[in-house]
Amino acid sequence: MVNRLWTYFIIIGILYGLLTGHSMAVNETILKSAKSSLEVFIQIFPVIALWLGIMNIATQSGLLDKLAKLLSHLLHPLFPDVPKNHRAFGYMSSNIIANMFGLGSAATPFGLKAMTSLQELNCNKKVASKSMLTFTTLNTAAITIIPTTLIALRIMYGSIDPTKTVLVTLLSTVMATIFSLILDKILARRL
Amino acid sequence: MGYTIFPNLLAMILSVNILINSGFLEWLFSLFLGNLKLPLELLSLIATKPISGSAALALLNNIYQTYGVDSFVSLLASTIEGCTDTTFYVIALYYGSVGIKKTRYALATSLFGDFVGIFTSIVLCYILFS
Repeated sequence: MVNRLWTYFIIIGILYGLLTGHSMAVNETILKSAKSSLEVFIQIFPVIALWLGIMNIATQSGLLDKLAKLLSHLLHPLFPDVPKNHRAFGYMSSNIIANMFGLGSAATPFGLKAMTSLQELNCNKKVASKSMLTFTTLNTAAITIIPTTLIALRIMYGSIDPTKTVLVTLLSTVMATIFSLILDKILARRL
Repeated sequence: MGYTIFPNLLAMILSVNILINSGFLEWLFSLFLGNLKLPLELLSLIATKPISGSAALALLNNIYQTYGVDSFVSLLASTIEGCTDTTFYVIALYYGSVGIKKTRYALATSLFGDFVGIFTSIVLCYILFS
């Protein structure tokens, strides 16, 4: 679905650009995008490498197990297809905990590891499993207790009350999580 | 893992940039959300966040500079930035990294979550801050 979406984006973009006289801008984009995606890759790759390393330390010291045990009791009912002691729960919990503190870039390596371990349980390796779908739903809705990056930015701009929006963010991410999980479970039944 | 991520990243950035720079996204948003009386900057933030986290952060910086960090628009922008995720990016990256070709309804549930989040923050901001 996602791969097809990129094709639609390109076709719609080129057609719309031609019709409205933005074809120069589109041309320029095509030429520049390969370079800018390499730049993004170079930016995120070291972060992923660093956090994969830290995650290894957290795993081997047993920290991940402890965190996982705390949170996975809550996660078990959402993932009926994953065995209760599977390490996927550890990675998913760490991913969600990093998201709760607004550390999106720290959450990504945990998320990628979680996907790898969910893929081990997946019987059709080309098609997303129910557990994967529930996980990405939970991940993108991302309950946020402390939006760290946002507060840092607001402090940088000299806000008189940098944490003013924290409660609203928490409530709206809780709502997003509840409703998208309901949709996920409804759609999963139809598979 | 690095090798498997890059082609997905390239496809995403190329296609999304073509869509944005052709002016299509702007036209689409002015069509649906034109009468909501939200500033255009907020609409572009909402349109950009699911695609690119760094672009959204740049827009947020811009809003803080234009309206002042403690203005209503900036508070609204902060909550929207906080409650949405870089949905397209996450899905392309996560499923791409393990070689999943069919993502089924992954995008639908996540975008629905973003929609609920944005709606809730707009309502709460109007109740609490305005």
